Amino acid sequence: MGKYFVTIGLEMHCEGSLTNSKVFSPAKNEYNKLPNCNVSPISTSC
Amino acid sequence: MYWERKNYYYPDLPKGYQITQNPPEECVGNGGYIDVERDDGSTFRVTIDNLHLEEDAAQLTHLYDTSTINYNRAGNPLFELVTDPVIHSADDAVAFLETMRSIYQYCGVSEADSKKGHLRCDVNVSISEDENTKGTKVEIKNVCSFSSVHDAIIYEVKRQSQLKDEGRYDEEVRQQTRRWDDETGTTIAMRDKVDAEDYKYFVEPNIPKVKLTEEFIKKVQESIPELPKERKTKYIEKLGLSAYDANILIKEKKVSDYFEECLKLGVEAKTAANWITGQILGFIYKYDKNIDEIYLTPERLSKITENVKSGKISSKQAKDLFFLVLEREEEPEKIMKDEGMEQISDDGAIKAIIQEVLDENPSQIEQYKAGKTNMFDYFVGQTMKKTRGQANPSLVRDILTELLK
Repeated sequence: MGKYFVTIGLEMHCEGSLTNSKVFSPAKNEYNKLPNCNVSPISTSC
Repeated sequence: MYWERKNYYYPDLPKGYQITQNPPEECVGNGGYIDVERDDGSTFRVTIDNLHLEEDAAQLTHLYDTSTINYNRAGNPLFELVTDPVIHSADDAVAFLETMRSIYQYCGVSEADSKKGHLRCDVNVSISEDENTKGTKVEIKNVCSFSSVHDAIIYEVKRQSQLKDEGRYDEEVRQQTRRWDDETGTTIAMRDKVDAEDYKYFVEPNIPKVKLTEEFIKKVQESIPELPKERKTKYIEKLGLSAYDANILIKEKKVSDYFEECLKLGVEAKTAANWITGQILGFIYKYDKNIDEIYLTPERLSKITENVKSGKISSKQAKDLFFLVLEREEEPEKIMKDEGMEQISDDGAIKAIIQEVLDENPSQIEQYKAGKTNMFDYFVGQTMKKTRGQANPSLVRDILTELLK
């Protein structure tokens, strides 16, 4: 990739898409829903 | 194993902290490695620093003069895999990510679908004079596709190299966080790197610690299904596919599952591989679909290949049928009936059509007899044209050879 020695580290985030609910709340883990319809009041955002 | 609170305020996390794990404290995994195969068959090893679990934050979309927030994915489970800085090219970075995506898919923990935003990467890039010296690490946040990871690395290496060449590296390249901008194809500075202690980690008080027993870990290990590497070996050694085809088939679990389903339905491995790696992937890439979303299920594909095998339709008709099935979303048999697609395999009927072609082309026959042997293909072509591609090509050749004697 050129005259310098290149060093790369990666942080790969992968969403666990196959659970029924979110990780710490009962709100649903669903794709392609209307915005902000899967929000649990218990934990405000999750 | 336990969770901690990572405290920071940003609109994508209004409660003010993210529940996460803080490696090397007890998280899901520390250490290990993944061997990755490049397209040319060579391999390289990526050592893993850690794998930890956390909750996802909301999705922020920045528009021209406003930003929107969607909390639907906030709190979804998220696996963060952190590699050691052992990768040395953009191609290798992408090969590693593709390998990990397959592993996640095959293990059934995630669809790992970039189109659904399941995969995101932070990329740390540095350059140095040689492998024994260290450069300044620049982090590129939230890169959402593998092609963007590739392009972001290329851009960042170029940017840092240019600054080094101009003698401005020490002054301009700081340990900072940048973001990748797909539209301009550049990285843009966001902020100087926040040190780990700024997040004021502490143990999450509402979630108990979890003890992962040896027995539990063994159970999980035993439940790991056939992984892409094993499927690839099977495809090459048992099914006789080329390494090239096997690589394409295993890359996405859904594609590999489709192939496996075709095999179960009796489609020959090479035939199924040819259809999938050629027509089907061409179609789904063109229309940006997943293989399990198209109307042409393995069952319907097997109907098409059965009809080719039994001689009812030619390979050319099969291709036409393939597109018609996808376009009309109708069963292959119905389309064959509606379009009169059955191949003509009746000797007498084909002979009559060939005779017609020969009668219409006396001068070409003379040329053929004078030694211009490529006229043979001309006659085959004319016959196929007259039958709208429905004549059995091998029968046409046999009968034509007889008639031209």
